[in-house]
Amino acid sequence: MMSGEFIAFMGIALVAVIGGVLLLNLSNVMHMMVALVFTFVSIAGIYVLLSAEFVAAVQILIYAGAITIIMLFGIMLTRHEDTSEAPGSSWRKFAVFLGVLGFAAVLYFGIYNLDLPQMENTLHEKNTMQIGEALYSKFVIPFELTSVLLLVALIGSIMLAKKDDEKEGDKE
Amino acid sequence: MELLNLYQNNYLIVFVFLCLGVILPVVALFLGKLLRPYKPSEAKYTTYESGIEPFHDSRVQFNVRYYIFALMFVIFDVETVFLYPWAVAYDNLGIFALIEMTIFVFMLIIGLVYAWKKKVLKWI
Amino acid sequence: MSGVPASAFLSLALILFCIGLYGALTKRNTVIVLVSIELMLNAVNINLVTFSKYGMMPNITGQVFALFAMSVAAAEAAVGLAILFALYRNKKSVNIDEMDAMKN
Repeated sequence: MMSGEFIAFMGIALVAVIGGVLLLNLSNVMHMMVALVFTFVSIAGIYVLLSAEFVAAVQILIYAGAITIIMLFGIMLTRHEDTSEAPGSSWRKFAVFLGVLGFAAVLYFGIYNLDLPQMENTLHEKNTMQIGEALYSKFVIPFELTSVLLLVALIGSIMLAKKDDEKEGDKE
Repeated sequence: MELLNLYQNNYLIVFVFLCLGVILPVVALFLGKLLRPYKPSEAKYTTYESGIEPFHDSRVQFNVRYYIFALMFVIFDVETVFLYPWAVAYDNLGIFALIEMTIFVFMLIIGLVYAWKKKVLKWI
Repeated sequence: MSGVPASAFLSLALILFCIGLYGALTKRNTVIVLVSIELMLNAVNINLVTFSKYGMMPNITGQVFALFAMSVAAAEAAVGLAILFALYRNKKSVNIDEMDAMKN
């Protein structure tokens, strides 16, 4: 039962989980972001396995490209100590860890023997064209709402970030 | 079914390419470490700062002004994502999709004009 | 037909979600908390794309929904960081436990 697809899934999943664990354990914020890029790229690989080519490309374009860049700006624009560890709150961390573990156990109990049948599908044939046809015929309203959302995000972020400029302009 | 296999086998090339991309710098750096002489001293580890003694952290805090450019990049990146399927499926969609896309692009042009008017696009 | 069962993808998404949840609850740096939230959103996207392929009726809708989730995540990251800069101007700190102005 060790098909090539399964081996590929295992490798990609391993890289994704290692990236996530490194994100939690590294102390330098820059190294954390590099670990996160590994996770994002391997999630794109998962999408390829799930016959979602276009979503994989978008994953690399938006997450590994844009969101990582913007988070790096967030790190570089703020002063920070390199360690992000809180001093003396290990019991709290342990409690959170137990809670997350319990949550994971409950959900895993729900999905571990979930047997969804895999039907013959055509998702991998002309994937982008299928998405385009669905997006611009069935999902017109969400699509236009997305443009409004992006506009609001752009204007709101400019207003929030611009104040600093004016203040510094006064100082200079 | 054959198409699915073809689809997956096409990605083997991507996989080989990724492997090459990872292996090449690792091998290059490892060979460099193997070949170069290693004679560290105190002075060699200091940062070179035009000949004078370095006096503070190498990482400086950037101006928030640069964030606006990253922000615009992200927003228009998302716009591009929606342009791709539109362009691919354009022949099957017709004039209605063109109108939708015009509204979409117009919304984001409003944002661009706003940024322009607020003078955040000026590079100082 | 295929080697990988749906529960494997769902388990991977679960692991990534839990990593993101743990990071969001324990990290002090606000940027890292935002990044952890992005990781959680990513795990949700994996679920959406998985259910778009598996099940009785494979459908493209899950992938389209994942696209919308991604664009919302990008907008959220942009606005979240802008709010972070506004807070940073006033408090000169990015640590999440020092942003307690509404507590007392």
